[in-house]
Amino acid sequence: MEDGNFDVIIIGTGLTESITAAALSKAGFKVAHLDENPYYGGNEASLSLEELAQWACKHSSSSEPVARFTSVTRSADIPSYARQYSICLCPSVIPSIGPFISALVASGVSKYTGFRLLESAAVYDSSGTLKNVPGSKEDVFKNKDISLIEKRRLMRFLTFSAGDFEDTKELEGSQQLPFLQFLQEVFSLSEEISSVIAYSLAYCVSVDDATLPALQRLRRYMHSIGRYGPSPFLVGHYGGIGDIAQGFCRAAAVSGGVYILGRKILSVTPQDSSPSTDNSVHDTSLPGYTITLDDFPEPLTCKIIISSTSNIHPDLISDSQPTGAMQDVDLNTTSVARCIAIIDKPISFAAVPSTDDAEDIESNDESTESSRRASGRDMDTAVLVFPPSSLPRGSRTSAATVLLNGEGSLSAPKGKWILYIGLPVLSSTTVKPEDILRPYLDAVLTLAHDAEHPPKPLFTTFYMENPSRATQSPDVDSSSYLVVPQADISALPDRPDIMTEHAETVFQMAVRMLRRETSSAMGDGDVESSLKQDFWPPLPDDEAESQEW
Amino acid sequence: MHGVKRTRQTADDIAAKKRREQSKIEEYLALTRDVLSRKKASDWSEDAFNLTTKLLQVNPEFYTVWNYRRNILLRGLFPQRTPEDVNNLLSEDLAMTMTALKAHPKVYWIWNHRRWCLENIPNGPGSQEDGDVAGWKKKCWDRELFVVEKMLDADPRNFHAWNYRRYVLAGMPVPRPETSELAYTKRKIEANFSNFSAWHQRSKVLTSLWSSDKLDKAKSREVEFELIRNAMYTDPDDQSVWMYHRWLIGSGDDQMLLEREISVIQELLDEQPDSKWCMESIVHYKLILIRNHSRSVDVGKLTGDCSTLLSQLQRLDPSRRRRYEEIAKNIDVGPR
Repeated sequence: MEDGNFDVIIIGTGLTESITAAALSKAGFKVAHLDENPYYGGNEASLSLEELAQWACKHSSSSEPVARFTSVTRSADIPSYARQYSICLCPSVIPSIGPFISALVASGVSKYTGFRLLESAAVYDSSGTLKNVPGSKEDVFKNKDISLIEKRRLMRFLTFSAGDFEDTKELEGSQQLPFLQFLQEVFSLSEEISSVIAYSLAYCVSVDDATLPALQRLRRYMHSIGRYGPSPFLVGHYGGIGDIAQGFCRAAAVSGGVYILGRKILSVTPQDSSPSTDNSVHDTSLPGYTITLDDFPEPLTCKIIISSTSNIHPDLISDSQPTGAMQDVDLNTTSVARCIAIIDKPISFAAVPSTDDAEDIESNDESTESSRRASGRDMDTAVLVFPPSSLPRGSRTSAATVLLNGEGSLSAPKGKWILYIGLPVLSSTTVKPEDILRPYLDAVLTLAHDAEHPPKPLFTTFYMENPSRATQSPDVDSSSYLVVPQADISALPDRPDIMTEHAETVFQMAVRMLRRETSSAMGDGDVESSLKQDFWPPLPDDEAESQEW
Repeated sequence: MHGVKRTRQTADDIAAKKRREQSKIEEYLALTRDVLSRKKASDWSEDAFNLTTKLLQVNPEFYTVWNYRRNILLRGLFPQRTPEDVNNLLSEDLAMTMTALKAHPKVYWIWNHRRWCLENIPNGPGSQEDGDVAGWKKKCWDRELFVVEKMLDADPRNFHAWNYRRYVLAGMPVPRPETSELAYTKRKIEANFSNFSAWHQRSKVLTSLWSSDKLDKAKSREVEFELIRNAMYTDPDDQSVWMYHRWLIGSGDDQMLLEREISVIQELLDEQPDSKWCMESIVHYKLILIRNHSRSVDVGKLTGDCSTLLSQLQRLDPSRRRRYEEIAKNIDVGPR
């Protein structure tokens, strides 16, 4: 590294920050990307089992009351082959159409990793059994649990949800109605089907979720069906989001970005802004910052710093940098209780198909692999949703999601599966995550093939994921410290897309600030038109062709 | 051609291309002359065979040369060869046509040559006594079924492939049980029931199973009605579903069946009042009731129902207005 002078320094290699780093580097800016952790991914990192255990220890002894991760506990033993696990702190499924997929393709980062189509989605019925989620015409046709009339109504609703519903008479006046109520009143759907739609198709998190946002989410997922296969969702290899964040960092590095991991940040000081010579109102020279790192020879300087709220250095919190109002943790905000468990027995997330005369008459030609998979055995990558009130000792107001990752997602060794359980809870709750989630974990374990002896997990960790404090981005003119908005509690498939949108917002802001400074120095009159920048430059020809799908 | 970029060409480039093409054209013409003259001279040698391979690679639609190739095999290469050699030659030709099909999937002559190869596989390797007299045949025909299944996976609605599937199933030395074909159609229908060919195949298999008493017709038909009702309610706009329903109803001799199905469809129409197929099917079946069971039904009411539905259809489906008018006119003519 020749000199320590950069256009932008980004602190923290979470997904949003990493996408921003890649975009800024590819746009030609000098970027340094720092992370105090020795690994990429920040709060979305994909960790080996050893790293996860260390992470759990570090955060369980953390004394910060408003830290992102609290109440962390873990089981004592670490199973063998610890390095063959890639466990993600932000378990997600990726919709096949959306900002995240587009960013992956346009940036070329999709080549760095592979993806697996979600194999099945199921919903937990209050009778203690699993039901298949009827998300497509084919699913509805085959489903044995829905009456004929209800099938018609469900199809009518699904068609409605995939189209332009904004100005329809069905939606008129109902935008803010609870979604469950809308489904039952306007589409005459039963309580049961409405619950399935709300929680396992639209991925609502609570009984109060409003209609319009739920419909918009559902439409995005419906449009994602068929792009890569019957499911709308992909699961990333090697732990998903964390590995993809690392991919964006790699893309940034390839375009000249500089990476420094594992060094503690000692200080972050703003430089004095140089006074403008003609006292013009539009003093666009950026104040800039100096950062010193532990065990690092030179200080680094930059015009802009980008980081999330959890990475704002204490030096600056008391400064007058307007990084947005710092809210106290509101009593009514939502956290997510999480569990990560490792098991060594397969679990079937598909409803057992009921046999009837038809199946007996037609010989079971199970010779094809796809029919074997479809029969529900050997599930590898699947989602199970527990709607509110589906589990006797579970939540009555929130839905829990369970994501299963097997060896097919290259995140676990052969014969092992990772279970991710997530349940939104009130931040103010004093109940421990383990107590909240045990009923769900136990329910899932009894779904293993041998129901008499449910498997005991080889490893578990429970923790609380809390929302961040400040949410506003600063006023552009008076600060060059850009705060990345947090993607907090949201539907399971939404976080990567939300993070991508945040990245683009921050990217455009940074570009505007940097260009404004350059052009004012050069006396360039027409500034505004040159300020907008494509989020990604066009890929070179040979790269572009390999993106054909 | 799809996917090939059009590049700017200078006058020099175009001239050079023409020169390259010219030499290719001359090569092709020379090859053609050679092959056809050998054919005329009844040349059944291996040299001639290899020349046909070369020519057919360039132009697989030259059916004269396919014929010539078959004659070379029959008259030149097969005689004085062991059955094993014959089997190997045919296997090689099957492989060669497979490669040709990947580049030219719609050329009929390639498919024809495959059929000819399949039909000429000799008995063997075993004999009648040790029971493996159809070993080679089984292997080739099994592989053929696999090829057809791959085609139908890629495009389940390719009726040429379904037709070829019927040919292969009929030609297999050890026929597959028809019940497994029934299961196959069910799989394809479950994957996407908007598929005339799959329903059609199902109807053919069921007809055969019913007439040979391998399947109880009454019970099986009820299962089919249940299946088709699910399709109907899931997507009332899908035409293939209604066609299959018509086939199930059949001649309309069973009055109870007709009346039952009419009320099922009526329930669907009540739920989905704009479904033109529901209306049209109800009219169709009520007319059958009038025609076949005039003594045990209320002809007047049924006629009235049909007229009402037909005027609704004229409004709902104006492109076929005249057709509905015509049908309405003919009702008043009365039962024959």
